[in-house]
Amino acid sequence: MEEKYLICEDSLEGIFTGIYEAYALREGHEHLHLQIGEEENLRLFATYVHIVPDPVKTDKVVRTLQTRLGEHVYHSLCRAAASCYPDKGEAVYQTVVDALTAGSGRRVMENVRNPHVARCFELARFTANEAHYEIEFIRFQELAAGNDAGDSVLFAKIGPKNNVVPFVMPHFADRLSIENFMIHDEHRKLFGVHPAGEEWYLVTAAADFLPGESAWSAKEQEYQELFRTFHRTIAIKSRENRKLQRQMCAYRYQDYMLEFEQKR
Amino acid sequence: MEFYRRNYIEGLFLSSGILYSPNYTMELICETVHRLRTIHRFQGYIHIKAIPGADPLLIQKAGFLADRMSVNLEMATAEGLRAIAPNKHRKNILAPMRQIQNGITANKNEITLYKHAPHFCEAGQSTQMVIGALPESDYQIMSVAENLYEKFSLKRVYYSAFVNVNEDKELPALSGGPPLLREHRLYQADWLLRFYDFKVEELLTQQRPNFNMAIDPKADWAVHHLEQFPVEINRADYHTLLRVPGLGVKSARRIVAARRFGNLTFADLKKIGVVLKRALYFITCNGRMMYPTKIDEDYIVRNLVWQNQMGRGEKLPFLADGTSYRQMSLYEIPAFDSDNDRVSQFKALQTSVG
Repeated sequence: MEEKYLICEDSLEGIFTGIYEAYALREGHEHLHLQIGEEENLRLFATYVHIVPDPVKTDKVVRTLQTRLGEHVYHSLCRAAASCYPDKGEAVYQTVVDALTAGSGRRVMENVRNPHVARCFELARFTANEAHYEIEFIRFQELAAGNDAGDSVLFAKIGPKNNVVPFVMPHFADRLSIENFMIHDEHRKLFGVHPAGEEWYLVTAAADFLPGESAWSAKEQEYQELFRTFHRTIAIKSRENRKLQRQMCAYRYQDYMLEFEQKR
Repeated sequence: MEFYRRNYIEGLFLSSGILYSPNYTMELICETVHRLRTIHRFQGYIHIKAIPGADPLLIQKAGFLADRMSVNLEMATAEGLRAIAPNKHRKNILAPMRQIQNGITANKNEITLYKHAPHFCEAGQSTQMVIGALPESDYQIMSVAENLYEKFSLKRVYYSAFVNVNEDKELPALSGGPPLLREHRLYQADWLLRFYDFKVEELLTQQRPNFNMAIDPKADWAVHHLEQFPVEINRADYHTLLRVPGLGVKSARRIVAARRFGNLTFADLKKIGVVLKRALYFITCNGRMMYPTKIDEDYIVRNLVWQNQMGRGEKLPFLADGTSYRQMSLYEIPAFDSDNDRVSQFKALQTSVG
């Protein structure tokens, strides 16, 4: 039988709508594939179907996954879908098939013998690890008050490989619940915005108005200097170990951290 | 506070030398933490030192304010402590440790009764030992650590390689920097105690009181107990799997979970995250080993050490330059052509089959 490719948008909604359509076709899953974005090399003897993301269909898929597979699996699938690798669509889709159709159900993430599940597990783990690192390594800058009430805004810029902002926001929304803060993903032009005391939300916007040093609050420079000094003086000379430091905190994170700025 | 807000820091560590008297110092620490928590509303992690010899009431009070408390043991043995820090007594150190432990258990019971009872040292307690300053053996250190875990239910014991602050003829002169590799081996063994159900007597004995610097403690144990290997991945229980070098807590759990769906192969193990280059000497999948290998102590050790020397085995980040391998002279084995060894074996096998 002919292979059929469903082409989805690179987003959670895109992938979940793709899964909905794949099941709606009722053609079995052996010859169906989910693909993120356009393929450069079109295959002969394959049909391509473009999928338009649909919030209603996404909702249905989300509900099914949550009730039949449980929160744990659902979150793993979301993390895998936030990965930076283009084969995530296929991995997530085939994992759902393994769980719902092949019957591994709530235990699906343990079935690493299935290569798609193994891949999905791997992608989800990468996203989770990176989100964890960002929670530790994000450095906020305080921006001067934009209004008369004198409310300052904390702003942080990150450049993660995976789309981790949605997974990092809940942590800071809990910790800094009374602050206005914003986390900006440079590569995806994505902002996670949290107004003090309210729910957080995501915004995609072209970022040509990014705040520079001029936007800092009065004390910001001083605190940055203080922390750099602290970071320099706390180290024990004889135990310094650059290689290990790089293992724990890769250069791609260090680029966004103020305590490392001068060294590189 | 501003550091915490900007996510520069996660928490605080308060420590102090004794100023005037233990009680006075402890009071100051208490006061500081109290201010942080109540006036500045600091919600982050606070780790404080309990000062040995301070009033139990003060320690009690501090425990409700901090997340973790620790008392430094400094030296593994009572004699060692006397030699290095004559004004510290072992009894004084152990007393607050016991108190904190009792505090934590009592508090746990309280919390099961009253959900909103204040938390006492939620993150448990820990301690620290300096190593390499005195000639105690690894066996002594590990036995003390095991005791602390069992009798004082500590969360962690930290080992820190001795760093010279001031030169003193009583203190050993350390050429080549602090004994970092030894510290590393102690931490490895510490993990074996806490997560792998090992006992100190299994790893070390009075006759063999120090760790082998050339291979890690788990591999060392395994090559001395070859009669228990190879282990069949698809049948062995969780605790047996944990004892295989190259398998960790996570991979052992994943194996147990994944084999419900069917037999595992070596390719599956690789995906699970098993370090096959170390594990292959000790496991079978469906009754077969990965390569035909000898189950022989010398042979395995030679291969493991050889991998290390080629920089393909254990990753030791502080051995950046090849020269520091001099420390490994305990097991000075020339890099044999073990690959040839394996190839010739394989050929012999082929001819016998063909």
